[in-house]
Amino acid sequence: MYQTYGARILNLAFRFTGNEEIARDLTQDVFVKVYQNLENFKHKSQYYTWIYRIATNHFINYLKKEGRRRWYRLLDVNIEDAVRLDQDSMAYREKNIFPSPENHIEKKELENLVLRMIHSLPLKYRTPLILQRYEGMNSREISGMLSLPVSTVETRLHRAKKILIKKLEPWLKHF
Amino acid sequence: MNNAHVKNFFPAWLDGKLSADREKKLERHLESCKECRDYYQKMSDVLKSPQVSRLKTLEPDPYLPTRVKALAEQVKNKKQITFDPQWLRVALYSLLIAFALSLGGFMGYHIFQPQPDENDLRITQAYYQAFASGSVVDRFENYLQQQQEDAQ
Repeated sequence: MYQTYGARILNLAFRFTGNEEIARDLTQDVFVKVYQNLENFKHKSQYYTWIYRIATNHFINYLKKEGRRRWYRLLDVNIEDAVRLDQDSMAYREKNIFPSPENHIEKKELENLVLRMIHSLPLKYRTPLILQRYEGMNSREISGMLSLPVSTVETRLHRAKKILIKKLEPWLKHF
Repeated sequence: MNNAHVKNFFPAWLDGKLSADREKKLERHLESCKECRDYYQKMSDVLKSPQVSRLKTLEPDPYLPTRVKALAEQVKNKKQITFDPQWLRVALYSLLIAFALSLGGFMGYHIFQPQPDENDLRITQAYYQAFASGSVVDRFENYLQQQQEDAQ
């Protein structure tokens, strides 16, 4: 099972987190869960769907915890410092993740740029977009994976693309 | 149709959610406006055709399955060492609750038991005293008669 799905799960984790080390740790967690629950797998779906569902839920839970941890760290400082820290880190992120559209960028880097823009989306929009764009899933498959109605998935995809389009507009000349 | 307006229709156009009439007007505009045509073309290319091969791809760790098995066995062994079955906890809690209720009932009965009537107490006392000396029945009858006369 690892030979069949290991690479896909690992790269899905990488698309979600953007960090190789974290992606490897999360992949290990996923396969531990798969191994522990193999006896309980009732074959109501394909192995692939089952493993993907475990993986996606695990990645989402991790990203939610990370988001909360970031806010908890800000609770340890006073309000003014917290706002300043947050603004500084946003500015740092924007500068390093999104270099100026006026700079030249190699064509091969453009897809990385799009992925980084996707990472900057809120989690509920980022998740279905990653599954659609990089895993080639349709709305029905995504809704099964995330246990959401198809209409909700389509709405979130639509909104995700709207935000992404706004971010992409200054960069369009490079594409 | 002005250009800014046309760009606003792009998300809906991409998802095929424009009305037939609107779509026709849009296509007529795109035929004549190069700027909007380029915009639509490039945005469609970016959003519909991701260049996944240009993204960094990670190679899976070949030793992961061994580590996974070891970790899973570790967790399984930890669970087996502690004896903490659900049924034992339920039985224990039920026993404690039953004991607490019994104790409460017992204490409540003895604290709030009604006090016997003084008259009844004297009659009982006399009855037992009469047993100690002879002619119990006669003495008891005399005593009862006395009580009745007093009450009248």
